[in-house]
Amino acid sequence: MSAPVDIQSIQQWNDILEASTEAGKTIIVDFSAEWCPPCRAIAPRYELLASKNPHVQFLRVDVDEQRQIAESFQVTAMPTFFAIRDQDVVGMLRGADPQGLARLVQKHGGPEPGVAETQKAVL
Amino acid sequence: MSTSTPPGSQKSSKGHSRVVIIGSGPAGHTAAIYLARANLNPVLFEGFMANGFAAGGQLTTTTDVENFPGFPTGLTGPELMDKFREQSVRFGTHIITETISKLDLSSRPFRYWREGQEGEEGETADTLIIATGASAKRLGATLKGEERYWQSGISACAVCDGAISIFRNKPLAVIGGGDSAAEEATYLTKYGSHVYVLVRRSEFRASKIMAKRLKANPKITILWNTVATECEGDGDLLQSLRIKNLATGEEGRLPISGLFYAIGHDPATSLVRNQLQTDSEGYIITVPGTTQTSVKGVFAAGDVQDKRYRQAITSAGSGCMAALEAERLIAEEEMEGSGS
Repeated sequence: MSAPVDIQSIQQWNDILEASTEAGKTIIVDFSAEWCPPCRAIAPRYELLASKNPHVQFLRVDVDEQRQIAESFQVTAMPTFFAIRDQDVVGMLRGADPQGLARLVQKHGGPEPGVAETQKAVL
Repeated sequence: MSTSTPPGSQKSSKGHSRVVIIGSGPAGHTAAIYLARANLNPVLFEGFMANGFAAGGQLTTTTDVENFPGFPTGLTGPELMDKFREQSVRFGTHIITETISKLDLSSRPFRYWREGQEGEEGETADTLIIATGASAKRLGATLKGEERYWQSGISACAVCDGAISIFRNKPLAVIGGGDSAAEEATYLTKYGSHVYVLVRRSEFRASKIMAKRLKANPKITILWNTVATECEGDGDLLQSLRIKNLATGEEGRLPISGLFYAIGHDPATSLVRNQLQTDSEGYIITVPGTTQTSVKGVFAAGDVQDKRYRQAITSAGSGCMAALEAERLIAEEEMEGSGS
C-alpha cells in the first residue's frame, strides 16, 4: 500500500526526482503546512489517491520545514499541488479541491502499468 | 395514532435522525454537545471544504483568538475549533465529513442530500439546525486584477498563507477596519517586513485595545480613508497595490507582496434561500430571541442568522439555544404522538 512520502531533505527530493524520471513515473507533490486547516482537510483524500495510484509517485513537502524547496516552486497559497513529469511542472492545483486533485492525477499520472503492458502485447 | 404521516414525508430507508446539524463552527458544535448530552444522537455534517472552508468554519482561517472567554492566554482559531470538535465527539455526536448540497423543507420529516448523491433517495431528519455560517467577502470587481492575483498574493486565509515564502520579510497589506483586520495585521507582522492596514473610514470599528495596539506597533502603518483600486504584478505574483485616499482624492502605489481581506461576510444560505425567510442580504430571519425560522422544526444558529454580532461566543450561544429549542420540540411531538 503506497502512502505519500514526506520529504525530509533537499537531497531526498533530488534523489526521488531523479529516480522517478528514470522510471518514467509522474510525481504529484503536495505543498502543505501543519497549521493549515484546508491542508489537513484534504490529507485523507490525498492518501487515498496515493494508495489507488501506485504507478504515480506521491510526495508531501512541509513548507515550513523545506523552505528552499517551497520557495523554488513559488508556492503562493496552501495547499498547492504540482504534477511533475521528466523534471518539468506539467500541472498545478491551488486549494483543497478534491475533484480538481483527482483530475490532476488522472490527467498527468500516466497509464496504469496493466494498460501499458496490454498495449504493448497488442502491438 | 392521532397523527398521520402526509404522503411524501416518509422516513428515509437510507437514514433517519431526530436531529441533524448542518455546520461545524461554534454554533454547530455547541448545539451538538447539548443534543448529544440529551441523548438525542445528533448527526453533524461538518462539510468537506464546504463554502471553501475546512471543517470548523471561519475560525479555521483566523489567527489569534484572544477574546473567547475561558482562554486567558489565547489560542488560534483552528485550535479552538479542534477543542469544540473534541467535545462534540466526546459526548457521542456522529460527525460526518461531508457537505450537504440539497435540502427539501417542504414537509416533515425534512429530506437532505449529500454532495455527489443528489440523485439518490437522500436521508431524513425530524428537526434541522442550520449552522452554515458566513464567508469572508472579497472586493471582487471593485478591485481591478483581483481575479488574476487571487491566491497568487491575495489570500483567503491569513493563518494558512501568512507564513509562506512569498510573503516572508515582504511588505503586506490588510483591508478592513474591524477586529479581524487588526488581528490579522498583528499576526502578519511575524512574517512580513511591514503591514499596511487600509481602513475605508477615518477610524477603526475594532475594539479600543486592538486599535491602540495597532497604532503602537512599529511594523504597522494604518492608512485611513484609503481603498485599494488595482492589483499590479508581473502576471504571476502580486507586486503592488494602487490605492486612493477617499478624503483627499490622492492616489498612490503601495509595493506589497501580499493582500489579505477582513471586510465582512456573506451568510451561507444558498442551501435554504427559497425555502426559509431570509433578509435582503441573505441572512436567515429568526423569531427575535429564538433560533426559530419560518419553517417549524428548522432552527438557525450562528453567523448564518446573525449580522449584528458575529462572534464565536455569540454563535456558540445561539447553537445552545437551537439545541434546547429542538430538544423541546422533539419532546413535545413525541408526547403528542404517544398520547393516542
